[in-house]
Formats: sequence, structure tokens, C-alpha cells
Amino acid sequence: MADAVRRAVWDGSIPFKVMLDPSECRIFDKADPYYFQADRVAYLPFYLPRIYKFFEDFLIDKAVATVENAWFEVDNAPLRWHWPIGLLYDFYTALDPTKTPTLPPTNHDRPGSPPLAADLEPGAAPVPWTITLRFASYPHDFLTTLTPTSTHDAFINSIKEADFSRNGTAKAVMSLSPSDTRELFASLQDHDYNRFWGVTDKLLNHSGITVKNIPIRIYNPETGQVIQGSVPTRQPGTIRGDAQTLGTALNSLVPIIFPSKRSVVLARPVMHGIVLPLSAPLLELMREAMYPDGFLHITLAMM
Amino acid sequence: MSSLPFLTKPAFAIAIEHLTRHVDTYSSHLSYEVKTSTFDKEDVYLEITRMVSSTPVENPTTAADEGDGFDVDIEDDEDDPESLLPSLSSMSPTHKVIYTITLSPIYSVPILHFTIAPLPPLPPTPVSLADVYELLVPAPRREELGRLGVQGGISQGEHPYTGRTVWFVHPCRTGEVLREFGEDLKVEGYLGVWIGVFGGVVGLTL
Repeated sequence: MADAVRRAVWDGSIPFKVMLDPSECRIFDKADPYYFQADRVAYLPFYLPRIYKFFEDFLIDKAVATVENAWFEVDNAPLRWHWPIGLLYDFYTALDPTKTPTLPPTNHDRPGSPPLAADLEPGAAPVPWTITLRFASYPHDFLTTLTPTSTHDAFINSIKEADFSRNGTAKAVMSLSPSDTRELFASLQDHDYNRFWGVTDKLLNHSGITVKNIPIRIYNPETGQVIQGSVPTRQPGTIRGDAQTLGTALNSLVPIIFPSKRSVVLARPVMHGIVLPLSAPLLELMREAMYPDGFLHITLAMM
Repeated sequence: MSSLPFLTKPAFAIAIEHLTRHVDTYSSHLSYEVKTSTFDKEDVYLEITRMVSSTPVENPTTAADEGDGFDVDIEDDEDDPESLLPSLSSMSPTHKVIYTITLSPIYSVPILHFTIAPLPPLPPTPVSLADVYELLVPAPRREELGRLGVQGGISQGEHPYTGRTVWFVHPCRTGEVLREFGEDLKVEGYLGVWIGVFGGVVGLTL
């Protein structure tokens, strides 16, 4: 089961409940919610067309409330189009998996019938995740404009950035054939594991290049701060070049929150809905559990 | 310790200091502010504001389409600060452009982010990617820039320190291009060279 972790990351999903903003609805208090299961590694724009279609008949004015000016909100926060869904969830729920029960069985792709309710501890993340579909007052300051190419563009930019971080050049990405480059995004849209990893393995194992650094973004849900880093695979300053662990990396990037390299003190690092062990070797964590855009997107669950 | 063309945080701060000193001496028309991230005082960056006009210009003068496409002789720019841009003096501004120059912790080179806001009496509607090209990219460079990446060399994203939506110029080849300068590239003149190479494409010149 060499690919067990990659598989589990790829298969991770989140049940969503979408409510239409009441001011957009022509029938008072009557729009049904839309339920769907979203892949953690995917992006919200992938699901927008089917969500829009579901609500189309409820809209007051379809000429104004178009798919082009649709956006989602949770607790007054607009949901960024170009963040992976798993990151959005972990960040906006400030998820602490130690407080969250196992997800109940869900109704995969069957809108209309809600998933079974889960008994949540106080402070646990909500399931399903309820978000609001809005059209008015598009928050341009916080959301990029959604165009037919914008999600693809942001994804490829991130892929290039990650490649540059790993290798010191973006040559591995640049040397992909045009069809492989297209395949990176197309396979993600189709949620096709084999096609996606078929190309991505070429990036991670590019001939003549050894991975030097690991691209990381750390998100603090309490402050909104995003810390980016390119962390060497081996700990600088160690005589034998000890392999970097998640703990040593967090300690070097955010020493105030991770004063210890071995145990969590102020926050737990969360990715893909689970708490990551500080002892995890960083290089392997990247190879097995990175997001498709090449980054380790880690949110902090403050203790 | 920086190994140019890559910069560390301290080297970037020094580069900013030298650039602002240069601007104070030679390009005092440029409106700038040195800022720090609200999260980390060590994260210094530079904000430059300029007004542009959307009035169409016949035969815009651009030094950029000469030779190899990169005009980096900043001495020339000093003689004629507007040489890469249409002359703005005779036109009233229609848009306010705020550029920021931050250090990318991934690429270890500066990144140029910018926002464009329409000025009254224009409605405060956000500009599109097509508007960005129209307003800032000198006509002879539009095709070259448009060929890069998925939708050209300009993308939308979030500002690393403010989290706000911004446009930015792809930095993935910055290091490669600057390496061509070899020994001539020094921390002191780094940002002048960098603006010369990468600024003009979106209307930023010294």
C-alpha cells in the first residue's frame, strides 16, 4: 500500500449544505438547501455550475444573479476561489480534529436528503458545512474575479511556485509536455487520481534534480496571517544534515507558536482534517500528503 | 548573506533603502511609502502610487521594444523618467495605481503586486484583466506578456501581507533573468535594475 496516504488525501471529502441568501430568493424562506459532497483537494469553482443550476429557479432575477457574480460566504467571510476546499474548511472552522467526531455517512451527490446529524462537542467543526450562496455586493477586495481561466491560472502559478521551491528553478514544470501540463488541471477537475499522479510524479522525480526545499504555507485562523516558506529538506546547521521534520520546520518558520520541535505547546498543526505529528519527516509528508498544487497547506488549531 | 540574484530579508531591506535614497535624489515625483507587515516588523515592503490615464495614446514611446526587449539602462530613464510610458502630463488621470514591492519567501526575489482603482467621475467598478493590459501594459509588450502561462504574465491573487485581492506579475523567471547581470548586480542597485527589467511592463518606471 505504497500509495495509501496519497489515496486517503485524494479521497478526503467534506459534506456541504448550501443556502441561498434570502435576499436573492423570490419565494420567501422557501429555497431548499443544496447538499453535496466536495473533494478536499478540489476547488469551489468546480461545483459552482451544478449549485447554480439547482438554485436557478429560486432566483429573483437571473439576469442579475448570474453564475459570473456568484460567491460563497461563511460567517461573513467570503470563501476564496483559489484555496483548496480542504484548506477553506480547516481554516474557516479553525478545525481542531481532537474535538471532532468521525463524520457520519453522507449522501454522496444526492442533493435534497440531508446527512445524518452528528453529535458534536462544543467547539467541534460543523458537519455538514453550511455556506451561503450570494450574488449581490461581490467582495472584490477579498475575492479574485472568477473567470473561465482564473482557477486554472492560480493553480498553475502555485504548481510553478512549488516547483521553484523544491528545485530552485521551475524547470521541471517548464519541461512538461503541453498535454501533461493541461492534464495536471484537467485530471484534478475530473478527480482522476491516476492521471493526476501520473504527471505529478514526473515533477517530484524530475531527472537530475534532487528536492532541496519543501514549500509550506501556514495559516493562522485567529489572525488571518499566512506564513509562506521554502524549508530545506535537511536541517541547516546540523553536523550530519539531519532530515527536517514537521516540528523542526514549524519551529524555524513560526518559533513563537512552535517553541518546541518535538511537542505542541500553543497550537496543533492541521492538514486534510487531521492533526499532523511533529515527528513526521517533512520530505515524506510532502511526497505523500501535499495538496495537488504542491504545497503543504497547514492550518493552526490554537490550544 | 545573499547570493544574488536571490535576496534575504535583510538584503531586501537594504535594497529598499538604497532605492528610496535614489528616488529622493533623482525621481522626487515618485510617491512612495516604506511599509511593514502588520504581522512581522521584519517584513518590509515598498508601496508606490501613481496616477494613470486611460485616454488612448497614439504611438506610445516605449524603450522596451528595442533590442532584446529589456531596457535596463536606468541612467537613460533618469534623463527621461516617462520614457517607458505615454506622456501623462497633458492628460488628467483616470485611475490610481498602487504598486507594492515585496520579497517572495519562495522565490527569494521581489514580486510586483498592484491594484488599480478608477477615479471619479468613473464608477468604482473593478478593472478586468483586459483593462489592466489596456491601462498599464505598453502596447508593444502586450503580445509577449499575453503568451506566458495560462492567461498571460499577469494574474490575480492575494497580497501576502494585506490579504487583499491584487494583480501581480509572475516572478518565476525573475532570478533567471537577473542572473544575466552577473557581477554588475549589487544589492545597492538591485531594485533599480529590477524595476528597469520588470516594472515597465506594467507601467512602473523610476
